[in-house]
This record gives sequence, structure tokens and C-alpha cells, in this order.
Amino acid sequence: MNKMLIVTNNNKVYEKHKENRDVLFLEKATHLEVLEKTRDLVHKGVRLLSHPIAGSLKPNQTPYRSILLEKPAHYGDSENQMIPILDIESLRLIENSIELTKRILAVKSIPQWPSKIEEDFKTVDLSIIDNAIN
Amino acid sequence: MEKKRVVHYINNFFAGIGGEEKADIPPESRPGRIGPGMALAEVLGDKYEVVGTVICGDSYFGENIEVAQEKLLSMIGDFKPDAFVAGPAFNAGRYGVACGTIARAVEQKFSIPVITGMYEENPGVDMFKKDLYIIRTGNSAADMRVAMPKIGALLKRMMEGEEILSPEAEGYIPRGIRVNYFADQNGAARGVEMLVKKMAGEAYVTEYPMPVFDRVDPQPAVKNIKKARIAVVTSGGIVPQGNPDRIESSSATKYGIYSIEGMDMMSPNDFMTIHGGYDRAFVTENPNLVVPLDALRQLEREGEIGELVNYFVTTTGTGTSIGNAKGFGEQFSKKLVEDKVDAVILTST
Amino acid sequence: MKLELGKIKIKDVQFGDVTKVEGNVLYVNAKEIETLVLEDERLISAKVELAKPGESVRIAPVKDVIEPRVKVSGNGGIFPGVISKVQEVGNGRTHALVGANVITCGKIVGFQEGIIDMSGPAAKYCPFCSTYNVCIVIEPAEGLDTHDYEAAGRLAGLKAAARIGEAGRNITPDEVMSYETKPLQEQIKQYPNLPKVGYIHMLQSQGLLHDTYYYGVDAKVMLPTVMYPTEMMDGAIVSGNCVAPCDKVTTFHHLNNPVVEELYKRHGKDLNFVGVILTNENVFLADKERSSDMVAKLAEYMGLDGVLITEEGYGNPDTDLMMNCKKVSQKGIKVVLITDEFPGRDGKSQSLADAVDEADALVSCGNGNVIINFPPMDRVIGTLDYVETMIGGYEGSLKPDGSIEAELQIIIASTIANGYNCLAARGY
Repeated sequence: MNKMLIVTNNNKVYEKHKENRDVLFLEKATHLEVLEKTRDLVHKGVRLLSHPIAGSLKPNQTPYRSILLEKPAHYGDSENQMIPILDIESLRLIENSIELTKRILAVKSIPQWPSKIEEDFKTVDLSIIDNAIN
Repeated sequence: MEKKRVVHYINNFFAGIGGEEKADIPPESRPGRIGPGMALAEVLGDKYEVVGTVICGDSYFGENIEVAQEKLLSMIGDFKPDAFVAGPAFNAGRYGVACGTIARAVEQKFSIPVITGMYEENPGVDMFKKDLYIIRTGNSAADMRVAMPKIGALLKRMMEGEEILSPEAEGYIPRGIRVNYFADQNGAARGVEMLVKKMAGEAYVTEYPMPVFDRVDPQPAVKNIKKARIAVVTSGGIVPQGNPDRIESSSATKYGIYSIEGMDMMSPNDFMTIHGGYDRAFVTENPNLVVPLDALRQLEREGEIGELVNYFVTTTGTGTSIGNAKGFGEQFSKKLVEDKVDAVILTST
Repeated sequence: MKLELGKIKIKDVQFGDVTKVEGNVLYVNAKEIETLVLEDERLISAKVELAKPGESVRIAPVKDVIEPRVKVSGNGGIFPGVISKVQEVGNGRTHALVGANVITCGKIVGFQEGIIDMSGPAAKYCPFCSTYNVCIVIEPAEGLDTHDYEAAGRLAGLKAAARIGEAGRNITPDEVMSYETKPLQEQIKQYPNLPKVGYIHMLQSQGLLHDTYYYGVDAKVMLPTVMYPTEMMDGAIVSGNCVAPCDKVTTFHHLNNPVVEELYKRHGKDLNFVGVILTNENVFLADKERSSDMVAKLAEYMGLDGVLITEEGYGNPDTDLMMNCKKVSQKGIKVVLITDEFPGRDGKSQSLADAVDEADALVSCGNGNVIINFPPMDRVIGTLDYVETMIGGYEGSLKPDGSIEAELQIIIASTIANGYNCLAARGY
């Protein structure tokens, strides 16, 4: 069973992995919204596999963020109303990352990058994800 | 050259209007300098002039912050200030908070140098040290002749746009702001030196102290538990069935206050847990495991405690930010104090 | 393992017909270097330009900085596994053209390269304002994939540095330093009464296009390992990664690791420097746990009394840094961390993305968020086209007159977290 889930707002990641992986593509989401969605998933029992602020790019620089997660056994099973087991370390990390992101965004928001730069950010984000998966 | 214009804020006491009985006077404005403003004018010298003094009673300010602040800002603006001094407040808590509040507001509105002074235990210090230069003073007005020259000296440097030096050099309370400088040795050399000292058990100073988490000092023991009024506060996520206020199961942004009036125990028919951080099965069956109403009622009957208040306070602790948790506590503890609660039992999970 | 490092001090750089060192002057045959670089079909243009200390020159966007070195005797060659064949290095004799550097510039991705000013107020933040720099401005073939371009650029710099380094092979050095670390047991016996100290060297391995390489192995797929410090001086570690410019541990810094230098200085006096533990900074949380477990295990196994730990990058590498700190401390080993800080432009926020109680001895390499003003320069090597999109730059950073307002982090290696610079931050 494929237990890996990718949450992303980067269409390059989605296009490349949608065939073989479970990808939750949040097309219109901001960087912060990807983190928040991940937080919500963590509360449903999903565990973080990759660090939510991987890549040393500060959260007010890159608009794109992809996160690797591990699904619990009952994920997506609407019949099974099991109480999720929360992974506290995942929650700590994602909350910490959201707080950090908000703090950094408060200083300076993500600029409106030229599309060429946006492509570069997508490439780097994809590169991180690909390197982590392989 | 025209003199630079300085406006000074003081309270009822330092304005010579009166003590506690005059703490409720509303803002007023007077031209020129008053009381400690004399000492300020003296240390500022010829190039600067204390053109006006604004005054407000400490209680009035505390009880009417918005009105007082707006009025004071308008009065201060009328003097066309180049710089602003508040206090110093020494160890007077309400005065310190007022000095910090108004100084920060002036800086935001007029973008001019502002400064105040306080004793390090003044509650205004923690509230404003990140935003303001607060000169470290003694704990009473007897320190005025030491404090005012430091205030004047730093204010002049700020007005002249000079580099503000370290807290030790200027006499202000460290603001927790990270500022660059060039050290004599490179980082690696300093690191090796620090390691040699650490291994030898000698004293060394870290260059970046880790953030400290708030620790709460234990309060004095309850004098007579048999007469005490007790409340239960929990971060265990116990709410009435259906979670009427929709408190989050983690990362809570709100808390609830729910009645236990006339109840002998927490019935699973009435209460549930929404906490996302533990296996809820046992608590779902028996909410008393988190809010021990059954045991407390028994103690109440046996006279071991005075009485329980007829409600409990609840939220979810897991993932909840310290800021939110602190905010909840500040709000509901007011109610607890109003309801004459003597002691609180905090239950977590 | 013992290495003699012959330092040939370079006091000027000029173009010449032959690449050579004569009377402490480095002469560079630009055509030769350009031809060498263009052997790689992925690059269509390479132009050599010189930049000297004090000149009104701005270099951007800078990719890597490499000190030219040559292996004179002993096993292997410079940059083993990348330029020379894979063979253990760190023994024998190596010559370095100290004061000269090869700098690769040219756009790779739009935000991860930085600036070097050779004079003016921003120069003091960068170690390369005081060196004689041979800059190679490269351009990729049309449609070249970003990853391939990065690899081509990286190899171009290393190849050029190795070629220029050859000029020092038969020169008598101005100074010869000798560094020696014996096999663990012998090393411990040499100074039995001094505390045994190690260096935990964290390599950036986030998979941002490419990574740091150890004997040609990608640090991402490597398990923590023990190395002799002198291996670094022959180029066993090369930089291929993209991080914020200020944080970048360039290949120059791997050759000239300041912690290694300082530990050797006090070796046999206050401490016994027994070796280096090399580890990575991966994206996967499981990797972080595994690597930090192994780092702590190796530190314990080596019987260390104390360690210095350095990191590369900001954000999630702070998590690796803190995991290493905690786990090594829990083995009863004393730890000092070296890192830079990002507390925001006003300096009021927390400096690191993670923290543990054990991190009670930390050296600061400065606040990278501070705003710096760069006056216009007479000459630009490379292009200023990307300034506003570089890390530390922002909309409006580049002024019409060529001056720049940007965060300190836009300058290459300005707050490098291995302690090379004197810049530090303190609480105000």
C-alpha cells in the first residue's frame, strides 16, 4: 500500500507525481495555507515525513511548498470513524513552522515574483521533494 | 539654530497635583517644564528645550487607556515635538505602564525619538522593553538625579542620529534586540575558547541565550482549605455534549465556561471530550477522569474543602500557542477573582 | 595523517600569456581558462575577468569561490572524486595560492547567488573583498536543464581552480604549515592529559538542485562518518549547493575550515584534536533522527570530551543542529554551537528556528537580516539583473544609479555559520 501523501501548491510537483503518488494539490493555496492544511491533516492522524520548512529558503521568499506525509491506515475511509492517533512530534514541528512562518511574513510578505523566478522556486521545491523521495 | 523641542509626560504625583487621591485626573497640558522636567532641561542643555508637559492621573490612564491616549497624543502633537520623554516611573507599576504605552504611541504616531525610565521590576519593563529604550533606574524617586542625566544623554544621541551603544554603555534595559558588531576574534576562535572553558568547568558566556519559557512561581499555600472556594480549570478538552462553542480539538483559540450546578458528577450523557491529543475512550466513558467532580463533591460534603464554584473553565491544551493560553488565563482569572475563588485545581491530560 | 600546506602568498593578479606564479604575482592566461571551461558543451560562453581588493567592482551573481591548490606529493589529487580520481587525500604536501580565488558567476536559479563588493562599505562583510579574484562568467547552452547547468558551473570552477593551482606546483612557498592527526588510539596517547575534542561538521544536503560532495559522494546519501581534518585541505569536500548567499560554505571555506584551523592552533596546548565527524542536513525527519543518533554514537565511540558543531543554512538545519546538540550532550560530552541568526530586520524576533535547553554555549556569526546600503560601483562583473530576486534583495533594492539596498544575507558568506568571520550579534 502506498502510504505516502504529498501536500503541495506547486504544479510541477503535482504534474510529476500525480500518476504514481497520492498528491493533494492545493492550486491556489499560499505557502502558509499549505502549512495550515498540513496541520489539519496532522490532527487527522497524518505524520510528517519531511521537515515543513525544508530547503533553507525562508518562508517569505518562496511561494511554493511541498510536504511529504505518511497516511494512517484508515486515511480517507469515511466508514471508519476511528479516533486518530495524533503524532505529537509532527504537531510540534508543524505548529512551530507555522508560527515561524507567520512571524517572518509579518516582517515582510512574499514579493510578487516575475514568472521566471516563480519557475525557479518551483524547480527548487520539486528538487527537494524528488531528492527526498528517491 | 532653532532649539529642538522636547515634550515630557508625568503623572499627577510628579506634577505636584497630588497623590493617590488625584490619580483620577484626566489628561492636561501645560507649556514649559514641571517637576522632573527641570532636571531634564538641565541635562539637555542649550540646544534643546522642554517646550511642554502633559500630565495624566495613573488610575485615569489605566481605566481609560484609549481616551487618555488619544487626548494626550493630540496635546503632544500641539507642541510640535522633536522628541518625547515619559517619566521616569521608577517602581510605580501603573505609572510605568502609562509611560510605556504613551511613549510607544508617540513613537508610532510622530516617528520621533522617545525614551522612558523604570526600575527593572516595574511591570512596564516586560511590556515595553522590546519597543522602547527604557533607562534602568533605582526603585524610587530618590534615584532621579542619577536617572535623568542618563535619559538626557541617550535622548540627545537619538536626536542626533548617533549610534546607540550597548545596554551597559547607555544604561538602558536590554531590549532583546540582536545587533551586529565585529568581534576581535573570528567565530571559530571564540567557539574553541568557549569549549575549552566549558570542558574545564569554568564560566563562559553564550552569545545567544536560548529563549526562556515562562515559568510560574508557586503561589503561597491556601490558608484554610476547609473554607476555600475552589474552581476547576482544565486543558483536557471536556465540553458539554455537542461542543456548543465549537472549541477546537487542538490549537485552541477559545475556552468555555460551563455550569456544573446541581451535578454530583460529570455524566457522560452531559459531557464529552474533544481533545485531540490522547486516546479519548476512557474519558468519553467517564469525564470525571479529567474534571474530577465526583471526588470534589465528596470532599465538599465531607467538609474537606469549602465549596466548589458552580462552573468549570475548559479548553484544549494540545498544540495551543502559549500566547493564546496566556490570553485565556488573563481573561478568565478576572472572573475567578470576581467570584471570590480562593484556589484553582488545574487538570491537564 | 600529516599534511604540509605550502602557502604561496599572492599579492597581485594579471593577465599573461602563460598561467604562472612569479614574484608573488599570479598571471592568468584567460584564453586557456576559457577553453578549458568550454570543453563542457553545456556552456556556450565563458569570460575571465579579474577583480582586485580596493577596486570599484561588484561581482554578481556569485556561485562558488575556490582557492587554487595543487597536490605536490602524497596520495591523490585536488578535489578527489570530482576533478581528480577517487583516492584518499590529506597526506603529503599541498601548495595553495593564498590570496587568490576563482569565482564562478552567472545566473543559475534566480535567487540563490549573491554579491561580492571589492571596496566600499559592504566589502568588510565578505572575506573575498581582500583577495585577488579570477572571475569566470558563464552562460548555459539554450534550453539547458537547471540541474545540468548547476553541475556544469560547479565543475567549471573546480577545473579552473585546479588548473590555476598547477602554477604553484614548483614554487617555493612563503610559509609551510604542518598539520597532523594520528589514528585515534595514537592520537589519544599523544596528549593523554588533554581533553579530547572533535568537530562535528554539518553539510547542507537539502537537495536544492545539488548538494555538498565528499569524495564525490552526495552528502545526502551518506551516513555520518569520521574523517581526518587534513582531508578537507585537499578538497575532499566541495560545495555544490544552493543556500542563502550569506550562509554558503563555499569550496574555499571547505579548504580553509576555520574550526579545523583553530583546533589545530590549540592542539597539544589546551586540547587534543582527535578528528572530524562529518554529517548531513537532510529533508526527511527520519534521516535527521538517524544522522543525529549516529553523530552522537560516533562522538561517544571516539571518547570525546567536547565538540564544536557548525551548520550550513537556516530553518530546518537548525533542527539538525539542535538534535545533534541534544544527543551529543546526553552522552556527557560538552558542546559548543556556531551559527548565524535571522531575528528579522529589527532584530526583535527569535534568531533560530529551533531550540533545546542543551544549547547553552553558542557562538553567533551575526544577524543576516540587517539592511545594508551598497553604493554604485564603476564595474560590474556578471550582471545586476537578478539583485532584486536574490535572497536578501527585494523589490526596489536596485536603484537606477546602480546602488543597492538589501539585507546583509545577499553578500556571499557574510554570516557564514562556521565561524570564519569576526561578525557577531549581541543582545541590545
